[in-house]
Amino acid sequence: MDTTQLLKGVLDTAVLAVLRRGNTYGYDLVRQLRDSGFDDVGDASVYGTLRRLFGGGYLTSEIVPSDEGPPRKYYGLNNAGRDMLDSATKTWGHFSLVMSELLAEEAV
Amino acid sequence: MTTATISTPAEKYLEAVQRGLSDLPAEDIEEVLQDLAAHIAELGEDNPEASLGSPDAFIAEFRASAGLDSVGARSPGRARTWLTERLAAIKRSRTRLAQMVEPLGAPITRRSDEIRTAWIWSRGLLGLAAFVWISHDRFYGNQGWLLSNGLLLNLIVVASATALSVWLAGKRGTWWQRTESLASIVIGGLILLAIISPRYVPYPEEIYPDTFDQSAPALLIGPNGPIQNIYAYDTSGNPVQVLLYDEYGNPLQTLPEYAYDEAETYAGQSEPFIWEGYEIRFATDTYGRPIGNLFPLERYEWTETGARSAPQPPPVIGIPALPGPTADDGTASETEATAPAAQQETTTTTMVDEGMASTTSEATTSTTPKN
Repeated sequence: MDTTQLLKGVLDTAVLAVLRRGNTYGYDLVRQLRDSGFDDVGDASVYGTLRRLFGGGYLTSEIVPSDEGPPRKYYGLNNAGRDMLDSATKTWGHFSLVMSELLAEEAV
Repeated sequence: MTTATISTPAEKYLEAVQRGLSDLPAEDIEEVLQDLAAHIAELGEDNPEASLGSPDAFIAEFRASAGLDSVGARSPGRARTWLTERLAAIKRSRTRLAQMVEPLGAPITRRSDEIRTAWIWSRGLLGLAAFVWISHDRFYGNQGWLLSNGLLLNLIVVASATALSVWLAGKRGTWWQRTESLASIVIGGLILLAIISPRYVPYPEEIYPDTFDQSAPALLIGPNGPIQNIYAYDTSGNPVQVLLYDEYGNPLQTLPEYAYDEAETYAGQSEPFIWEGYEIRFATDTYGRPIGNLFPLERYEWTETGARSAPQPPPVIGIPALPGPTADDGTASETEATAPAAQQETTTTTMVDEGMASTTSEATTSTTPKN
């Protein structure tokens, strides 16, 4: 099964969940998502998601100078982002439960 | 003749992405390029395509996840390509310049939060305004030290305060922690200013009370603070009353002009005139007006229960031995007299403030020797 299409539907929630751990910048966010198991997540997809979430008022951002190169832009959750994550968590819980039960049904 | 420009693969990649997003607002493009430039630097690879894929693929994926349509992916015309390349070159220069002046550059290039940037810059000016306001009429007279020291100094202080504010904005932490840090520095500066202030105070024009200036400062500054009372002695150590004037005939006073106005209003009342912990009973002229330049002032230590019954005593002083005709033997005195002491004829009066010898005046007085 192509997980890319599935990932598109949950990438917003995944990004918000990683940011709940603490503020971080784009490169580290991609790394954390991959370490969490989303091996195929695209860098551009993450940046596009960040732009959309930030534009929607769900994230904060802060420029922080870096000793290793250009300044990093740290993203973080604001109250709207936390509310969105709470709502998405409930939705995903219900969705995954329904899907698991459906798939667990034995053929008649 | 043309000049060849050599771009690194990373710069070429960023240029290509910029072209692909050229339909977006300039601020949005710059935000994306900032993120992408930092990302490419983190990768540490010579050619970012190895990790990120082709620029076209990156653009398509970015636009799809950002919810943008694909209009920006179309091939631009030649004129538009030339224009966007020039704009890209200008923006790269700006980005490099901003990176060179880090951390000052970081808040400047943060275009997504213009209100915050405006606050960061204005915070420096607000800090300066508070600095001027607090120093006004406290350490450096009516005008304030900053305002009286020229345009260049003011510009330097404005630039320093603003740079400090922007630098603090580049530090990690909440806005309150950064503002708190700025406030700590401003308060520290004020304390330093208070410590070094006496060396700037005694400008000649500031030590004489101005009749028209209701906030004129004290007459002189002594080692224990502003001088409020003056004690005069003849050379024998006998306390005397003196009227003090400057070389223009202006009466010298030790309190601000408005203190005497206030004292005049108290003159006909039963309530005492209290000034900085002392009840002061001025001698008055025939019109009932306080004579401010008659010294010593009659001062009574004031407490909540009222003034002490005896006036503040004169300080214990040592009268220096002076050459010249003295008592019966006709030789100069070899020893110092302590007030009160044997009377000697002289035309010189020694004056002291509340604590120690301050100055010698040409004001004349004399006492007659007893034998």
